[in-house]
Amino acid sequence: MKSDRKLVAHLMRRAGFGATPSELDRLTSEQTYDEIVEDLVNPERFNEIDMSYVERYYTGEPVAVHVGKWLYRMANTERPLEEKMALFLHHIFPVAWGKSEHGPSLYNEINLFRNVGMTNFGKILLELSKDPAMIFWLDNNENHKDEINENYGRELLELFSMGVGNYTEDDIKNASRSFTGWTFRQPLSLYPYGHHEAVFQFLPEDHDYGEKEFLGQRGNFDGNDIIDIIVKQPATARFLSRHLYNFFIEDEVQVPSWETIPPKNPEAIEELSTAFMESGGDMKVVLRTLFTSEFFKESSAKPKVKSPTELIVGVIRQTGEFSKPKPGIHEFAVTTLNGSAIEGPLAVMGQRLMNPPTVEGWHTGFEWIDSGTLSERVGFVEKQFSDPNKPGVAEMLSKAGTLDDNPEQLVGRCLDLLGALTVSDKTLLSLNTYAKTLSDEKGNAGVHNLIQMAASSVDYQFA
Amino acid sequence: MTRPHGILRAGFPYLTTLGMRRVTNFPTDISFGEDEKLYILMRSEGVATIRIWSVNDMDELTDELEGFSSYGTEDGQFIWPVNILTGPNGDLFVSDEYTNRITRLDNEGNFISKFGEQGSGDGQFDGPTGIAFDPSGNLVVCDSKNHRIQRYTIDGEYLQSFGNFGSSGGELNLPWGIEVDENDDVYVADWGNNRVQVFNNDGDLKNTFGRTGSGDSEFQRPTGISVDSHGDIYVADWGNNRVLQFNKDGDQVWSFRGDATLSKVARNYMLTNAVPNRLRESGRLEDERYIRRPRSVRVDENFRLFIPDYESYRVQVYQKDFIELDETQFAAPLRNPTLEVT
Repeated sequence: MKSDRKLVAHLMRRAGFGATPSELDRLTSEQTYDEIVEDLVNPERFNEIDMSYVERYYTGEPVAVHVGKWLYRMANTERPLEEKMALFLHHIFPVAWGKSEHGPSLYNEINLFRNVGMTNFGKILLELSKDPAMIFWLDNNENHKDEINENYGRELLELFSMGVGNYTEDDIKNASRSFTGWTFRQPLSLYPYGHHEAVFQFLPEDHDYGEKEFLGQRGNFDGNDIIDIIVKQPATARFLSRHLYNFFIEDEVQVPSWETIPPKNPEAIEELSTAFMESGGDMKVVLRTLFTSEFFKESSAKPKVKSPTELIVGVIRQTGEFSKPKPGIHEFAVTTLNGSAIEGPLAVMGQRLMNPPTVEGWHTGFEWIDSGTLSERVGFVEKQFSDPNKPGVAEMLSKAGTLDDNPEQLVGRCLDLLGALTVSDKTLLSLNTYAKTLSDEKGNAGVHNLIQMAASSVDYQFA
Repeated sequence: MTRPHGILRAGFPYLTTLGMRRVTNFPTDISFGEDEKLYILMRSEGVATIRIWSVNDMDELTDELEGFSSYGTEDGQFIWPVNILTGPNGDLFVSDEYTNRITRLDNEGNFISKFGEQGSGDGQFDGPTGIAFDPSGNLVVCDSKNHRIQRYTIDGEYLQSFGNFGSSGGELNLPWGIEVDENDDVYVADWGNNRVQVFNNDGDLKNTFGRTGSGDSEFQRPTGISVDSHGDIYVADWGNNRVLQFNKDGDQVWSFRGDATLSKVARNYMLTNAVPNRLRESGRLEDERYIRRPRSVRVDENFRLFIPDYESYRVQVYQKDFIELDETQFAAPLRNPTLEVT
């Protein structure tokens, strides 16, 4: 073994959507931990998923179809961190289909996140500021030189980069002035021939070229200058680091409380912030720092509730049900596309992808959990593992082996097959107790039950 | 029908556009009925149905639309239908790459029969896509995920199979569309290899053309394929959003990128919708003419070319303009290109 199995499993759950048993076998036998991290932060070393193959099968206009395609990508990508960063950016820069219902803008925004998520934070903010979905979501298309709309300028500072308390109302006004004229060209209407893409457009005649003061600096700033200044701020480094910590390491309080409640691990935030500042906002550097840090390696012991997306994608990776296109992946979002739409498990668990509730995005961590969503989560996992013929379940059954007069070893093998899953003493006791009741006569059915029980445990709900 | 000695290609003008969103969504393929009737196969995730439409389009958008079949696995239903063909008695034959079967319906949509099951043996399918009739009335099927071509009687009795996975000559990679000409030559849109391959009726390779790219004679995932009675070959070039036309030897002679105008039904719809009309005034209207993600191309006996414009919810129609030539009007083939002034 070149790397520790439990640690690699932890890495793959947090930096991706979990590893299958055979992936863990390969990774741990062939690569050191640091080599695996290097592969994760350099996704260009691996092939992109062939979308012509995906779109050969998955087509349609409803947003649920596009959510389904994204789930397929997440489950099958060879670049898991690239896809995880797209999800991260969707969390912190949320745009909802509910406002515009212009599908192509939303899908293109996720593509944008995928393309820039591991570049430079300045580039991310710049592309975000030119993104028609974001422009419309936060009204920058209504931000004119003679009539400023401060919505985007405010959220850029408050929610997307620095956080409350690090700028003034005048900074908001001058940032907004700098983004006047940043809009998009009117796309053609949905009728009669379907959606067309929206494209960024800069209107010089609608841009305020006057002098502005922003964060203590003066100049004839435009949006590019504002972002350059933002990315150099230590507050930006700290704010993004706390987002990354919350998403990849440990559940924090929700963003509105960050002004008053300090981070759980200030040293970790400092380490990430330093990496950000020294690299000029290079996301690869920051992510490498994060995943090779001691605080990350120790974080498997800290509570981190899987988001509904992480839970669902992790499950379908393990069951292998959608390792190739087959109908129905949209049903995780909406169960029917022809007639009255019934929401699927993603929504019931509280996460309508591409349709977040507000500009703050989703409240995460233990706020994912209430009695209703916990029941849905556990029931979902139990159901997904119920079919022994799904390829991933069949693989687990073939590798789990039989009782061999040692129930505890069988439990250990089943937990390992579920991604080197660590469970509480209480869960372990329950699984061992059940395993002792198994007899050889029950064969695979008993082992299958055991795998289902382990997957249905509360422990499985944590990343 | 005998092919002419040659043809004078006068042009291939755009004729008309049919359908619009709501009534002809995601047209995957079409087949021809009597009296200018079209059967438009509509497929997207969760939706599979056949719309009856007319080459004369429709005067006004109405909820009283003709059509049949729905999404499902029952007899006469479809999950992932790919091709629709009109056969004897006007019956319709539909391939379904998920249920692994070919379904026969009468022209009112009543289920008649089906054949096929999942597998890789003789008489089995893994994702049947393109279907075509051969000169004897047998059905030739692209068995896509088995990377082979199979031939059946019209009643589903297995006759023949050829092809296997690969990229060498004669090998296939997820083939999609298929056509058979009057000589029983089989034309296959070799999707994964970005080329067209032509086989004789024994499955021996006769010709291959096309390569990966977006220039002349290049493809990004060829889907549908048709051959007219001159031997001209039309290929839907999915990823390049176009249809390419080749002569019988495989030389590209034309490309169709789209010339759509408002269909009759779309015009009348727009007359009662003020906001979209205003949006059209400031949008990049030129984009509306272009073909998007075609999955099929069909040519009828009148040399009208029908391009189901998949992501624009319509069908674009072109008319081949030509004069047939005899031996005195069409010189023998040249072995070499020439710069002589003629």
